[in-house]
Amino acid sequence: MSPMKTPPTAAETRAALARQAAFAAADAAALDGLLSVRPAEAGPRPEPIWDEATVVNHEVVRERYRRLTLSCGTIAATALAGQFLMITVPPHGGERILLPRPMAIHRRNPERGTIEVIYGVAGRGTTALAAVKPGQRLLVTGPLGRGFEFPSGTRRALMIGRGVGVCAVMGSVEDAATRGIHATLVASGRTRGSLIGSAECAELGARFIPVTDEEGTADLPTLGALLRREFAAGPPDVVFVCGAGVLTRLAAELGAEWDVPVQASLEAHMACGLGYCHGCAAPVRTDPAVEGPLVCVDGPVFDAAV
Amino acid sequence: MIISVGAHRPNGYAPVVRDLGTAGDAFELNVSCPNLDRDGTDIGSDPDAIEAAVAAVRLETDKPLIVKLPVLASSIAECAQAAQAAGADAVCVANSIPALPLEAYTRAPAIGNVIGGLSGPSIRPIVLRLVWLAARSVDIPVIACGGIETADDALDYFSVGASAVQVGTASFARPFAMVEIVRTLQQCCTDDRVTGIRDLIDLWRAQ
Ligand SMILES: Cc1cc2nc3c(=O)[nH]c(=O)nc-3n(C[C@H](O)[C@H](O)[C@H](O)COP(=O)(O)OP(=O)(O)OC[C@H]3O[C@@H](n4cnc5c(N)ncnc54)[C@H](O)[C@@H]3O)c2cc1C
Ligand SMILES: Cc1cc2nc3c(=O)[nH]c(=O)nc-3n(C[C@H](O)[C@H](O)[C@H](O)COP(=O)(O)O)c2cc1C
Ligand code: FES
Repeated sequence: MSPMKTPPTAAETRAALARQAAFAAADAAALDGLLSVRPAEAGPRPEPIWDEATVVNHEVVRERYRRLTLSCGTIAATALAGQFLMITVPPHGGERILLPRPMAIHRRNPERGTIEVIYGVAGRGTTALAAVKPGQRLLVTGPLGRGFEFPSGTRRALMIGRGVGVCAVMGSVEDAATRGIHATLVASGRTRGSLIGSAECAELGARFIPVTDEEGTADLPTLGALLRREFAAGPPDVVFVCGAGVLTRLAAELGAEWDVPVQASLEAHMACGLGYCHGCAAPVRTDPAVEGPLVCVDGPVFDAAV
Repeated sequence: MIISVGAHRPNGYAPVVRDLGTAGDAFELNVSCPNLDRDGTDIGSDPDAIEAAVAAVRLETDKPLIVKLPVLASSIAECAQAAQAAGADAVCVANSIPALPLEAYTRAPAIGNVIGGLSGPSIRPIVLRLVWLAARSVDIPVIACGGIETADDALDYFSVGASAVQVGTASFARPFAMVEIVRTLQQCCTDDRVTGIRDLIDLWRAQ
């Protein structure tokens, strides 16, 4: 665990929250009109379970994230690429975290019966989660939601993730490796040191393309040009994206140019993850007279098209 | 299976129950909804509206009817009595509490809809009072609902007159919360050699 940092001042917190609000507004604007619920799945979804998963390992990774390795054999064996967990965070220092927090399943290791989650400390819940020690047990519910699906006949796939959003697409990179699909993962982030996915791609035989704000390679025109060059000889058969609305829009535009489908994984505040609370309305245009789709059960993966 | 029915007008419930036909074993009428016939005051905060809604549903079904009352009523007793008078088999006290949470520092609304329902452990003392008031005012059973996480919380409600309890928010973090609560209540009864919760409460009172 990293040493305790001095707590941010009120001004710093306000600035960070303002940045977050601006990001959320840009995200919502970029997603407007892009998304639709995917057609019915090819096979049945795995039955979600709850499990008192043992924390096998918990370490700081890529400067600003934490990797949580959990022993939960059933979820490791059944989770589909792009599905998520609800993690119930134990109380910490007098702080009670009432509602569970959604986290993408980054890696599945059915042989060892483990899964990995990578998360960033965002607020109260993830701060308390960061204090969990190996050997402790964490209540997890999963696998949940609708994942990424390769269209039949996929030979080449492009995955794009921003920040911790890479974790939502990593399961599809795993699936590509076992199915002989050639995968390219674009990891976008603020700094090189914070990018997730390079070691994973090396292990899984996927091409890894890092793009960062600090190097000026992550902005949309530059990234768009890079991808058009990268796939000039022949486009991928499908694009999976997660982590930012603006990236989803770029992916949808590329998908239209290439005439290939695009699937995007979304985040939303979730109280239950199970379709009970109806607090996670998806930004999908629907008939206002009927209740719209939910991110947790109709997604988090949706079709994206311009 | 108990089917929850909501509507935005007192006469909106009966058609839904009629359409549901043979579905479900019982109905819970969620009257904590804005009444569009009356400038948005909750149907459930107005005894006349409750009586109208429940009486109309009573004509449609012989199945057990639970009326789920809101927190913000000027008299929970009168609301519970109105439900009883119109033929309800039980009342549920209560729904979530309308609230407006803000984000720290920016003070922006924390939820998209600005206003939403507060549930969970922080509402328990508020709902305990309402259950106590309702249970003294009607003969039909009062089902308590509000912030129950443990068997102890459930016993709090039983001790102020509830006949049964519902668990909402606690199930989000612990999907088996209800099973745990039932098992613990059974264990309490076994430990104290009584057959029911009423006896348990009487026994503890006597001690
Ligand atoms: C399907 C899904 C998969 C996810 N996967 C991951 C993952 O793999 N790794 C990871 O680090 N995070 C992931 N998240 C986001 C993660 O759930 C939130 O960061 C976490 O719940 C924040 O909890 P907190 O208590 O620390 O923050 P809070 O105190 O609840 O919030 C801190 C700040 O973050 C914002 N925020 C909180 N939750 C969300 C959210 N769900 N979406 C957008 N903004 C939010 C709040 O508005 C607030 O400004 C995922 C979310 C979803 C829905
Ligand atoms: C997300 C959420 C959705 C709810 N939806 C309904 C509803 O549709 N109808 C209803 O009667 N009560 C609804 N409630 C209220 C609960 O049934 C319950 O009365 C309230 O949450 C208090 O109980 P709790 O603290 O155990 O959750 C909802 C509560 C929550 C948290
Ligand atoms: S998070 Fe509760 S319905 Fe989606």
